[in-house]
Amino acid sequence: MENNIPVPTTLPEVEHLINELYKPNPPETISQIQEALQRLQKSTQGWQLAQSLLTRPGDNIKFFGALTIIVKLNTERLSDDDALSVLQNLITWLVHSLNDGSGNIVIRKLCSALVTYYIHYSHTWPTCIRHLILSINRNAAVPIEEVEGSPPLEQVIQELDTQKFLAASWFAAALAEDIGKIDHRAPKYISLHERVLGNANDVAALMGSALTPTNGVTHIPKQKEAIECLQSWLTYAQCAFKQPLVQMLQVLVQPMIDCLSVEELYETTVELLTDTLSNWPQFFTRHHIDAFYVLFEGEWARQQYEDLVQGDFDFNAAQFALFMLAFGNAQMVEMMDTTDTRAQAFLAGLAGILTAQGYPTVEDKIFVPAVEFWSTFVENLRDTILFESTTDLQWDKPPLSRIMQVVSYSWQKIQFPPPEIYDSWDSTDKTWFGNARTDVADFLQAVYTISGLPLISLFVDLTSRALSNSAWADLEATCFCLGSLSDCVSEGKSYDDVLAKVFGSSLFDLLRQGQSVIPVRTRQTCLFLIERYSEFFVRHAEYLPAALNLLFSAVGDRHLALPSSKSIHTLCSSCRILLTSEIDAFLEHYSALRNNAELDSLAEERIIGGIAAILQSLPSEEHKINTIQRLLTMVGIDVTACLQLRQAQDSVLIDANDPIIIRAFDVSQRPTSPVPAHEVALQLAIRALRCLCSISRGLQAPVDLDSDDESSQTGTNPELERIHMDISGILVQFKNLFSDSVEVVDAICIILRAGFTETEPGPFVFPPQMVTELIVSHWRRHVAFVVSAASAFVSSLNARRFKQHVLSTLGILLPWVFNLLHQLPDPEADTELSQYGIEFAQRVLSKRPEVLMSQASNVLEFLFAFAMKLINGNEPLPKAAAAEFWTTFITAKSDDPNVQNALNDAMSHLGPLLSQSLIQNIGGRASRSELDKLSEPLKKLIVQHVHASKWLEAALNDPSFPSDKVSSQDKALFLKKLISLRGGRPTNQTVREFWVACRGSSFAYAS
Amino acid sequence: MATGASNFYELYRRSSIGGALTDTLDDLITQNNIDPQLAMKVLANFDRAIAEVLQDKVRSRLTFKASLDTYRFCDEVWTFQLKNVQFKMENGGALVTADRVKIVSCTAKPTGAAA
Repeated sequence: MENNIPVPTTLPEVEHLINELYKPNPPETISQIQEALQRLQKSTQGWQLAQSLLTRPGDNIKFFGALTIIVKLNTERLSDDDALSVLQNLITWLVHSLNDGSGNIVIRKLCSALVTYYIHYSHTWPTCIRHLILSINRNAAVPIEEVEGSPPLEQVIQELDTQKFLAASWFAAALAEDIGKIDHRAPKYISLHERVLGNANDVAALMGSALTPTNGVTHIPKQKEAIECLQSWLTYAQCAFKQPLVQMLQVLVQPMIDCLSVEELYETTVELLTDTLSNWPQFFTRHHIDAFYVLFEGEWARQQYEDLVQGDFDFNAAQFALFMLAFGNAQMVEMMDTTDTRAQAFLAGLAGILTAQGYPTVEDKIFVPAVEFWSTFVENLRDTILFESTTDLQWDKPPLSRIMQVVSYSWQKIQFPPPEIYDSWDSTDKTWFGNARTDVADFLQAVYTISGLPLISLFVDLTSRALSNSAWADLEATCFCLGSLSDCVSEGKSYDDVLAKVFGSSLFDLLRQGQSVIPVRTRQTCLFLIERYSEFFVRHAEYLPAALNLLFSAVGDRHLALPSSKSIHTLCSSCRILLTSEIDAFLEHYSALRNNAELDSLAEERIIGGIAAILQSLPSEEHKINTIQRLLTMVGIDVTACLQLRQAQDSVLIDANDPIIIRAFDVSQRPTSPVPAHEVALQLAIRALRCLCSISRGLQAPVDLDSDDESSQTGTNPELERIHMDISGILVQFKNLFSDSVEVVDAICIILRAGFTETEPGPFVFPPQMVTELIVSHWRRHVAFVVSAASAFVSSLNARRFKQHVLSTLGILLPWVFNLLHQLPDPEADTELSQYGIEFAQRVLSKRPEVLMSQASNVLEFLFAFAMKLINGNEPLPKAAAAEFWTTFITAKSDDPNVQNALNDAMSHLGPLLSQSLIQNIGGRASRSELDKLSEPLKKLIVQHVHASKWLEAALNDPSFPSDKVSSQDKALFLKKLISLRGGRPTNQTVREFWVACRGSSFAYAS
Repeated sequence: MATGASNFYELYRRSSIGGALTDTLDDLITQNNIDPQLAMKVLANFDRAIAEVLQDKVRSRLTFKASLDTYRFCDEVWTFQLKNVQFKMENGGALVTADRVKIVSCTAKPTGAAA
């Protein structure tokens, strides 16, 4: 952008531009003004300009003058005499500004300029704090030598008025903040940090004078500023960690604690103490801890605590609770000592916070941090118990009795409010309330690691009590807590005996009586409990029928469909072997449910998936085939309806009340006006396909990591072949009609993939020819997904009993994929297709290099050129896939000498080109995040090929190399490093460093 | 791994989201829209924000079962190498298996010089 604003030549012009700079102007105008002023600042007249501006009226003008001084100090090196002259001027301007009514922005900027001076010339101004205070007090820049004979600092500070004190405080705070950003370990700055420490005593005196007022006269603005200054110094001290500095600041803790009871100082003080207790508890001494206890036991803290527990969650009360929790965290070890009565009393207070009135997160803002504290406490206690091998812990004595008290409080707090209150909350409130319940679940899991069975027994007893009292909110919270412990509970008779008290109780009978007896939310949580303890039902089949009957009775209820269907799916999957004798009953249940207009599609998918899981375990093949046919017949009803609707004229509309609409659309998406028949057909197709997806997944054999993957079964089964034909027929028809829809294509690919991982024959383990035919047939859109499925298919063939079909399958699939890639006008025209296509080629190359290399030479030329274009391109995912392809290609090996020769020949032609591509990328063209991926082929190239060094050298010295920021020597050194690393892991770091060198120092901000 | 000044790990810069952010910052620097100092500040903010968000906001969880092959604790970093791992997602999500998994875990707050 051309700058139309010339550099100003007179002071009024400069002032005009500065005033314009701080006015609301268009961004480009501001940018141009800034550029013009910056040129002036950096010019030789910059010093003079700053001096003139600081004597002119107007805060903006003076501010810019101080800014100019900072720019000059940072960019120019002065002699010590000149530097001292600048210092005298700066102090003079500061004194004038304090007296002429200048705004705080000017005074703060001048303080920043003084700190900048100190960073560069600290040796000329060793006692900066003392000298500045003295100068401010005398309203003149006193000579530095006069500091020696000056009156005691405390006396001088006492004489400062408020504005002068604030200025000294701002300087001291800015000093700690700016020096804190400078590396403590760099040798260049060690002396600077030491000089800062030389001033720490003066800073402590400055802050102490305000925090410990003489004659009891307090001055709030000074105290507030002193606390903020102390915050900066504490941060600095934490990083610097010099004992003398720490000791000087520790003296100020008690005065700071005293400030808590001053209303105007409370917020600043409590935040500082809480932060320091959280981030740097070691700062506080035993004496300080005692002082904190005295504070917490005092009347002021007692009042704060009572307000909090009674539900006062304003800012101050919440801060007080966080302060208590920070102290509890800092004193965690002492809190576990049951003989420390003071700590135990405080711990009781921390437990009591959980009894504060109000719903967690919505009203009670402290509940979550308090639960987190207790989780940490329990984890620490557990570690101590494990470490000390303590076995004589008693649940009726602290600290365990305290933990059980917290469990009880938490359980009460997470109970849902009445529906009218819950419904009045917004979605964020509801989410955070749910998150608070999850935090309690985490806490209970931590408690379980200490308690074990007694915690389960506690909630089982609470369940029984809630049932007998018809206390449904209690029951809901109890079932939630019990459910959250399901992952912890191990197998064992004692656990099962306790759990049987719940699952063998009247709970299921009551739940079946419907909403009139037990509210919906409680019923939902109880159904969730069944799912959580599915393993219990595997061990105790006697409870299974009652549970399943309950779940099937609930699935038709809109509010309970999802939790009950989820539980049905989990129980069917876990207890599949136990349920095989009931398969007919399940099919009848499902058949009946399909007539329910309210049946949610997701619930249906889960139920049908559960039934398929049972079906998978049927011992008889014949029974299995008959049952799958019955299941497919039911899905076929939707398929038939879909095809009939699809044959209708485009203009045909279906009434919104038509039963087919109810089947095609879930309640939440159901239309209110007539819908085109084709749209209804598509929805029915998607529903049918998703049911097939669910069946195909349910029929997959359970994961057994120790099993041998080889199938024992051979031969064909005509009935199974018929099922294959039926399912394939559905897939082909839907593909022909609906492959515009991404959901349809995705579902078909999922159904195909489900069989790829199976080792035994099955309804969805289609013959390779059938899969191949479907894959290479015409797809209207989204063919990239199909190519991705083809990759998985090829990999699965190599690992399964269809190994003999690999060659014939690849003979069809390879040309199909290459043809798809060939039709692309540009490799980046369809990034998904390019990525999956090159991944397909990479998998073939990796498993069967001889097949890939046997393709016609023009096909191979196209493939290599395509992969080269991708690695040279800008699209990250295809580029990463191409990098992997080339990595595989470089390392490809074959036992067949002819194939190996072909690979070698190809490499000798492609090596220089590939080297050039890699070097162009590493030389700055690639994005930083791509470098690791691009390093892989580079490493393999260096290890595998004798000519790699020559090729890389030629690429580095090629005129097209993208960077002029590295010399020939840099390139030679880079190459030498690469070769010496022999493809080792440090190559990645070397590549990164070279990339940064090629891009320039501006890119060195991140490693 | 943690910068002394910010006291947050830089390890998430190598995550997908961190890589995407760094690439974007690189682009902005290339186009002269920002200077490297600002980019550095953005990354420092990212280090803080991602640590806080992962701690406070992410509620998803999973459980896993595996055979523990090797473990070590060095420089405040735990490393676990697991075999035959089965991940179970919450809400009944799919079971994910892996032959080998390496877990590297650091303390939530890097220990500063003073700690």
